[in-house]
Amino acid sequence: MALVEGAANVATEPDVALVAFVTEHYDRLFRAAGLICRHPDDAADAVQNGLELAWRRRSTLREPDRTRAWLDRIVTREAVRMSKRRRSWLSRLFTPSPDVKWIEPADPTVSEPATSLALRAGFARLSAEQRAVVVLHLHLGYSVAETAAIVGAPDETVRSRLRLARQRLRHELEEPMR
Amino acid sequence: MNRQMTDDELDREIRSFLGLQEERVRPAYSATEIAARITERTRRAGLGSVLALPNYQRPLAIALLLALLLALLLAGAVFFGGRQSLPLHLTTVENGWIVFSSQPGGRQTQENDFRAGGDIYIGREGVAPTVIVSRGSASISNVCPTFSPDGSKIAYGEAAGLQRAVVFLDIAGDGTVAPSARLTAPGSGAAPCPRWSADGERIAYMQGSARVVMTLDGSSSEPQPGDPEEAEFVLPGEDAGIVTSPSGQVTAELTGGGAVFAAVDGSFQRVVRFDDLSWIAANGYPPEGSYGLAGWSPDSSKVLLMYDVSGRHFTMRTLAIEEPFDSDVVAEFIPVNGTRSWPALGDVSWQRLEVDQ
Repeated sequence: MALVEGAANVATEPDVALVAFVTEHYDRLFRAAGLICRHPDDAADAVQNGLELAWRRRSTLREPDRTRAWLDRIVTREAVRMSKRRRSWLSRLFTPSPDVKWIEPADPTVSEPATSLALRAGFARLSAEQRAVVVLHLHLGYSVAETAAIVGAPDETVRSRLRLARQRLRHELEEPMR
Repeated sequence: MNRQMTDDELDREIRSFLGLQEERVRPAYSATEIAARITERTRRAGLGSVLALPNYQRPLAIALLLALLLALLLAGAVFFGGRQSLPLHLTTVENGWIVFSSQPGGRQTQENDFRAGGDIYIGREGVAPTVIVSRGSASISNVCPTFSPDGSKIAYGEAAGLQRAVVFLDIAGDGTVAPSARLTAPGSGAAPCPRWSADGERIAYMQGSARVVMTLDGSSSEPQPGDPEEAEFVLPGEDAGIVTSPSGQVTAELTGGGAVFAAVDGSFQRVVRFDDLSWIAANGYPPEGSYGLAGWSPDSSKVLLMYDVSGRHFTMRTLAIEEPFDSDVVAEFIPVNGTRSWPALGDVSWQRLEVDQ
């Protein structure tokens, strides 16, 4: 569909500095946003919005060595916002309704390591804010104080979100699947 | 696991899991393409900028463009066409058949008497319901019947002994059904509670705390946009809370002895007191007797109310959201499968029909 491929078809030569800026940060930001959003389209939108915002406001950044944390803050907040946004009835309106054809009997093979399956289920059940602090603190290695600054919440709130997230994930790991 | 993990062990498991998940994340666009999109959005403000909008903004932008186009077409037709009919092909949504189970599905064990099983009925306004799937000798749980988005199929969950399955039925225009396929659901326990993807190409159900997504040929599938989210499987039980209409424009909520309909944009709020309605008194229902809100009609004009009429039977009625709040019987005196086991929201599905004008 033409719209989906729009980015590739846009006949605009991007600024070389912008390309360098996006290239340097895009992959890392997309992976982090993907973990928070759990959906590649939402993650792509969050990163594009975040990078665009950052590019427009780059002159306000006084300490260039803080670029990474600054970008993480912008994109994380955008990813949380995107993640909380439900797919609207309007977007469903534009989803074509396919013909349902003949259905064959099932192949009941559904396999995935139990630990991974349990953590995936648990991680999906966390709120977007909880996923964000888990990714920032446990995966990207930010301290609690740095994580708090990135998500814009008090340290205690971040500790609380981490505690609840660990509780949920521990429960999923230790509760055998029914 | 037999022993409690330490926090360090748990953190290691989480880090390992996130590392693996991160490896699976693949960007759809290259950095150069993203840079081009940003450049495009920065430089242009015309119609072409729709191409560079983020995915979530595109439907709104396209809708606005289509609305503008439609307005121009209408204006042109009125100006040039005189009494000629408008050259437009319109489709309206109509309310079709209603399927429901006599047993609640997808909820906590204590709210559900699995021993008694459950039947699935089909009916519609003005047509008394009939059983289309039987519980047999009170041993089969048949739960969560749900119409496919195009209304051509019904999926429901079944548990008989240790066997679980998602069953598909084809439905004809006169409401007759014919089984078309059965997908075996791994594991044992409560019957799966299936939900359709928005495009009708996949179904999903919860297996323990994990969401299983399957294509209609029975093979497992990675979750895709439009698939039911985990939150959609958390059924509220009899207290449905606030339920939004299919149009997304109105909410409904049962209150003590009444209901409240409210526009999402805040333009109106209608409070219905059941003791003011003539059909309540005529049928001898106590004003506070409605125990559940079982959903909306596809055209968003009415809701379904569930009434406890004997302590072991329920009656389901429609309630229009416009004054004078008319009501029709959908099902009367349907036996439930246990005195604490009442079907409600999630156990009833109303077929959406698209009719060309």
